[in-house]
Amino acid sequence: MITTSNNIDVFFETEITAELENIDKIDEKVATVLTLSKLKRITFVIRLLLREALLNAVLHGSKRNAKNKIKFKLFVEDSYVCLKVVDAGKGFNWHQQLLDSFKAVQGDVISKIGGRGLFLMKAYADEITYNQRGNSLLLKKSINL
Amino acid sequence: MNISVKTEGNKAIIFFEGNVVASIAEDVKNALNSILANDNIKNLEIDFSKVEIIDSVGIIIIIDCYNILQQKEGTIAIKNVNDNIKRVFSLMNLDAHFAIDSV
Repeated sequence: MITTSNNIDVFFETEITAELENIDKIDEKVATVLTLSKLKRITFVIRLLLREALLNAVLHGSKRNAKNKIKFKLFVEDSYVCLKVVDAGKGFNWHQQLLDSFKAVQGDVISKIGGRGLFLMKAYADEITYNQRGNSLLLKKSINL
Repeated sequence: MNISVKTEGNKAIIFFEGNVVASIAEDVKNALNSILANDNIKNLEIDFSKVEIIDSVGIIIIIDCYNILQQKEGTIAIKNVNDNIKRVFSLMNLDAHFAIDSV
């Protein structure tokens, strides 16, 4: 369910199977609500963040196995839009991957190194927090209206 | 995602209508690869005027095109891109490699 009001009470929670098409469905719902809310100005950023977070969960956390479930939650807390994505995977070495993600966009030659999704999340989110295992991600974006 | 193509000499002009994201990546890759398989095509111009958002998988598709065209000694140019996507390309340092023009 998504609700909006004048004091930016935006909330959306769902559980999806690990299929790429489900990312589009969530994005479409969230985009519709944010565009009509006071958060319109940061709609693109939230959409990009949710797409990258869910993409990692589908492709890496769930190995694109549709039997695996992914939990998604969008909410506003204090002055932040928060996105929480939890997959059932074994997690990953996010410390190293976060460090390596810069290599994907450095240098004169366009690199084939992965990590662009993490790079984008770091570039656009104000806070990025993984649990120790690496299967639960919380992204925060300042509302700053 | 609808993709339409027209050719002008050795240039293919491609219109994307829809988001360049993971769920349609295979279709987009197949369409672009079939265009690039034509030896006469050395340059690509991709019109982004109907694209709202791109993700990291979509970015890799564009990079793959660029790398193939480099081997053919050709170029890629992105046209009519919105400011949000232009910033994504810029953060990825892609504007250092090929032309990215705003709406």
